[in-house]
Amino acid sequence: MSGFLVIAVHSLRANLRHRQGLIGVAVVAIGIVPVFFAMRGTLQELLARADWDVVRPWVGNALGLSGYLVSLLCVVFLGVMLGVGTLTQEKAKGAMETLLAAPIRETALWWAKVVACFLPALVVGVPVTLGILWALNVTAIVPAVGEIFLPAPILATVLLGVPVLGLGLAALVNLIGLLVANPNLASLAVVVVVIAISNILPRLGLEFASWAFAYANMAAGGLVFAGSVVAARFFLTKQRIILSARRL
Amino acid sequence: MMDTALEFREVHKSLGGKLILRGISFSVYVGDVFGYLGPNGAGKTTTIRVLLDLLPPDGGEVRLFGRPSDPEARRRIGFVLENDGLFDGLTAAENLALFARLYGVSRPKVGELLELVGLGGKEGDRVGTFSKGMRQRLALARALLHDPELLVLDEPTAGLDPTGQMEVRELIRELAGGGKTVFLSSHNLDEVERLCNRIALIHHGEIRLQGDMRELMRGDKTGYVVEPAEPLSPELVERLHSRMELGFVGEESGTLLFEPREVGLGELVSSLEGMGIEIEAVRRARTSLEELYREIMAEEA
Repeated sequence: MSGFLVIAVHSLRANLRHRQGLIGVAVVAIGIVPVFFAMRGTLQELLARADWDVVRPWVGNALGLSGYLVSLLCVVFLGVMLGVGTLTQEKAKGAMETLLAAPIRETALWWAKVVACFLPALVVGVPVTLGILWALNVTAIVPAVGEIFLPAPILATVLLGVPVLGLGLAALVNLIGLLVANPNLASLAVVVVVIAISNILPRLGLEFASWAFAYANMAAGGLVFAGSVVAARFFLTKQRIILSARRL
Repeated sequence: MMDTALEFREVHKSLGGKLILRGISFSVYVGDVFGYLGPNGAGKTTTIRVLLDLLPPDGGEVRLFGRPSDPEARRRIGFVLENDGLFDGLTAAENLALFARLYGVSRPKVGELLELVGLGGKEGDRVGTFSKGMRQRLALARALLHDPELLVLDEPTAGLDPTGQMEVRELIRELAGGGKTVFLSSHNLDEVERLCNRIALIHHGEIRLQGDMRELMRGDKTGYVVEPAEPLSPELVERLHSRMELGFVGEESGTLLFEPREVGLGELVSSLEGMGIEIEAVRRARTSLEELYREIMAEEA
């Protein structure tokens, strides 16, 4: 088994066992509930206001926003929470140095960490998001319209846009986490990027249920990912990782 | 000529603008238990990090088993770093299995290794519940997983209670006896004196002293140390001083130091017995590692 796979499997198990990961799951679970009820209320209000043909774009937008928020929480936030806690502990206790002294390249270690925090978030996040969209349909839209309403751009955002963004952010957070003294600080990068994206895209006039919004998320995620890969080539060295851990 | 397991040639390393290693050179031969001594901050850990390729040297060369250090050669090293680097959430067996996979060991002898380090039956116990001594021994087991030829140990007994220290030392002695070359970094002089056959002393990033332990400790001292069975009375000490041929130098911590020029050891012993001094033990006088160490530090000061 290659060093990458060994560390990926190990980190995956460690992430799922780590307290911070469990806290992340709890926060996401608690965070989804108010989102669901708030958006259900909005949808019901919109549908009660006018004919379906009139409110259809607004309902699409509200549904798109719901899917976006839930998938951000599940795929991005959960991923970061899962990875950062383990990274901090491994650096503080010298386990990272021991791993790096074993036959493994620093880039393989980084990729393994990215996969270990992104994969479970994706596996949990996508079905949960689809479930919320289905539940909003069943409880708000179907009773008023008589059919399931799930535009393809929303599915594209949830199934591709946010996962690509999540992968990009997982790469960025783990890269920063490996290079700074306290990997928890790397979470701030996620907050900054997510706030920036969720503010810039609507200001550009992109509807949550539009193809443009799905593409914009994929592009942003791709950009963050590519930027992280390039930055890793220049900055990710064993020396930097070791010396950053020393300051913990 | 003896085969070298490890060789540093004029290795330089700076960190944060500070020169940590100032062109250090030393050789560890196959079968050595090599003590790497120095006070805190001397550059011991940086040396080990350079050795394990965690830090690249700025200049000079690190050679392993007679060739420039490369990943293949580094696979022949087992190591225990200052922090044991164990995963608290995993069991002892899981910790070993993880590193066995990293080193490509298909059938790790987990039970056998745990038995060797005195942790038999602890396979399923979580490492988070282990004492410092148990952790250190498990780290040693981990270092042995791939049957390395060179063991690099950074302060392996630091923070251990006396029993733990003795256990780890005994283990190192066994491993060395079994043919492993050991590079032991320590600031514990007593430990190095007990375990090592060769040493190097690093201070302010420079090697101040290196060589065969016996040669170094023989130093320029001659004569014998006599341990009397009972403390000597002042009158007896006076009489010893008056016997010029015995070359009595003085008393130190209850022992008597003689540097006889005219008499041999046998005559010295019979003369002392003739004076009514009951002798417990006699040994050749030598410089202790502590004395050597103090001397070098004093030169620095």
